[in-house]
Amino acid sequence: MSTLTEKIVTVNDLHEERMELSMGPQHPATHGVLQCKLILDGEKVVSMDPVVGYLHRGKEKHAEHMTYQQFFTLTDRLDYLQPLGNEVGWALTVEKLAGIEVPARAQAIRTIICEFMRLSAHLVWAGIGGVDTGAVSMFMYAFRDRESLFDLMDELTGLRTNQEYLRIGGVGADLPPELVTRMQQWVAQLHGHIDEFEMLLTGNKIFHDRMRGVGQVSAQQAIDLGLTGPCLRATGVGVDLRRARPYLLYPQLEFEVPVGTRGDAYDRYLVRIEEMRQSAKMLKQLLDGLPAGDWIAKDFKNVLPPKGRVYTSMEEMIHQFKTVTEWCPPKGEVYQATEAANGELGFYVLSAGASHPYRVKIRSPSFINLQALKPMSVGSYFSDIVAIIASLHFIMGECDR
Amino acid sequence: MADVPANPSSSTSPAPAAPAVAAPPPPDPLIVAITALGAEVLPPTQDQLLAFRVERDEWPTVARALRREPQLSFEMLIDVAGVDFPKRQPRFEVVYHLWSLTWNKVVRIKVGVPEEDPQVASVVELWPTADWHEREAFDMVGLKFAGHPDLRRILMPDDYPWHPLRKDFPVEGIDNSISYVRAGGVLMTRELDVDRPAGQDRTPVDLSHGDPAGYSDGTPTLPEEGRA
Repeated sequence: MSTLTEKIVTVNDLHEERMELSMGPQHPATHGVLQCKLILDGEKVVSMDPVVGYLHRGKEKHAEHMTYQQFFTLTDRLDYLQPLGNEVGWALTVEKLAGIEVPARAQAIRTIICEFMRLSAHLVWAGIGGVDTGAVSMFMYAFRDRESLFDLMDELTGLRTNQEYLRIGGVGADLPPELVTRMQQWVAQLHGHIDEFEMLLTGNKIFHDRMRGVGQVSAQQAIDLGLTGPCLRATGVGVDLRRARPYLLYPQLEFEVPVGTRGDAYDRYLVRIEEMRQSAKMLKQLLDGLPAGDWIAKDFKNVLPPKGRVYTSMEEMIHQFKTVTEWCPPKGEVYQATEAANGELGFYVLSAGASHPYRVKIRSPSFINLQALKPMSVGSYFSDIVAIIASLHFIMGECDR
Repeated sequence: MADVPANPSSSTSPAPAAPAVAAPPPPDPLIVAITALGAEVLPPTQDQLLAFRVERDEWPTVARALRREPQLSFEMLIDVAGVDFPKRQPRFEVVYHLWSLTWNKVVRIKVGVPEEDPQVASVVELWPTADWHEREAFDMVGLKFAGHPDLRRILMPDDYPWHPLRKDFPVEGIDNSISYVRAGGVLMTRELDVDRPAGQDRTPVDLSHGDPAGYSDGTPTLPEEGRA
């Protein structure tokens, strides 16, 4: 009898015990292959160490051994939710390096696909984020729209995802007029669908309780941590590269930059939802005012000629051969950033005047935003980590490169 | 009256001997402020960013001023890239891209780092985002950041012995289970192909790949001997 009473463990004793927990790399809520090394005190997170690199494929090293045109294939697989957006970033970088002028129609098509890709990424985020926080039906609604968006991309580029549609100097094929009509229809019905998403989530008590006040950062903290994109804007800093360092046709477009006030997971959700509406607004303007003209620059000393003409014209065949085998941009260096779905996606290219880049550095927003996971989750509850991960929405393909 | 040298205080008419060429535009106050810190202005490249070279020893003070001085206020560190130039002296370069949200300006700062002592001051205290940037540069290029709180590998496994973004690292990688030979500054992989003739079992890696002769920007290069 006495031995039993001696071994009674009180509640206070239990609190002394800290538990080490490894979450991931195969955890369904870590969006790919992220490992979080956690130390828990009860349910409170005492320490968190995100371990990345499981998806490292050495893209920067490979880029040094590929031609500029070949590297498009690898940029697709950075943020695989917005493959064409990454391609646009790389195309703008190389064109700035080589001083290639892109025709107005090609620029408009690029801006259109950039916004479609932002919608594609945000739709996946909405669906997966819903699943992570318990709203499984949200997944069905978001992926319905994503599938129909992929049908449009399929028709434009020939592939649902990882399209490889961009070319240096333009795009790989024209946007046919009947597809423009279908895109306009798709955009027109999107506003109603976003209303549906909001009906499911915005006022949902469970969702609100899971997201409000979770993973909060101040504006100053966000800038110090290098956050960009929706995560930065949720803290109230209205910085958007489409406004701050404009590219493509964004200076001509009418749109607003949504900002949050508290910088928590719920604000990040609201900012993304509003960005989807703004993207739809921009797409409407772009599709209505699509300029006529060339979809690839006629500068065939630097640009791949359209495939159809390569088969029929001797001159274009020579250009194709020369461009593929011996095109070299001049020496120099360029840093070009675009506003990707998750933030500032930058390419820093150092050219030695050879057919291959000397050095490519990819400034990946997911990698930098993921750094905020530690300050956001230390001190919160274990179950909040899933909500924080969902609201940060990093893509490990882009993070690990 | 006009040919009398005018008193600057009674400027009624401009001096007639004024040169016909237009006066150069006033220098950018940011350039003036950054060169006053001891940075050297680099010629503009295709992206027209302001670019500067900073000596390694001066980098901590320059970085502090860039972050803290109100007329500079570069609040955000966008990117840190380590670059390897095997034929240059110093061999490595750290390229920082800083963004001032106040002025909406991006500058590029280059700091040279020699191979013998590949170390540069960490800027984690000024820009906490530099934490992972610097870990990546350490992992990929092998640069050490003095004062970094936790300089570990980040993308490669912790026990990985090489720095893959160095130019002498072969793109096909080095199998950890195979021994490697470092000779003349070139990493060599031993081929497992037993049918290969003797003496050809080592494939030297071309150091000059992507770096044709002449790309040195006038900076002194290492003597060719000892390098493949």
